[in-house]
Amino acid sequence: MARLQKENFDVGKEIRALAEKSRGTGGIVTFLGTVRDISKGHEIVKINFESYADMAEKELDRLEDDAKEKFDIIDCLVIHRTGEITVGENIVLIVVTSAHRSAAFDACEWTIDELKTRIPIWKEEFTATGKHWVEEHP
Amino acid sequence: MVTVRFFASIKEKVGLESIDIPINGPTSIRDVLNRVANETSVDKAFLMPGGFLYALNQRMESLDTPVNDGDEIAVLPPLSGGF
Repeated sequence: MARLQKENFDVGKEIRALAEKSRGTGGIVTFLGTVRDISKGHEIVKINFESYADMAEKELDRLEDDAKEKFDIIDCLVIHRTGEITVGENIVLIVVTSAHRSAAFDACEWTIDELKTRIPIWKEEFTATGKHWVEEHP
Repeated sequence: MVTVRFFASIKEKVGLESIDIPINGPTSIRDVLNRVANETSVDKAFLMPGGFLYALNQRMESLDTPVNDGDEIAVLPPLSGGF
């Protein structure tokens, strides 16, 4: 089940937990998104993620289900943080377990691409000179 | 009554987290947002610029989707989740 949470997550612990309940796993692909220190030439102090939490949680669950239906994988986990996050910290984690690597790579890339277009979450960047909402898909 | 919720940059520009709009008879998301524009200082072109998404009861829908009493509409600026 997907999670939307303020607190940080332990990548190794999340990978082990998903792998342990994924019988038949031969490969695990992960994507970890973190806070960049530079954005469009500006030094980032921190970022804030706002969400439409009720909808985002449901959409994240649907995203996992869609990935499992679309690709020949065993399981998929998505975690996205909200609130204020500092440079270098974790933002989003996707873990995909599969019997073979190809499907796991494809599913992981598809899931992060879909997340950026489907999940109602917004990023606010704080720089030394101010703050602004990011309203584009890098 | 329909509740309209705003997020991120829209919430800051509108100056509200949400607004309740009474409805009477067949109504669409577009109709409700026109009412929001009439009852606030927000221009309807700002609420419906072409690049926003709209959710009805936490599902993405088009502006022409019918709404019913008790529904929740959300006006969503371009999404920017992920890294």
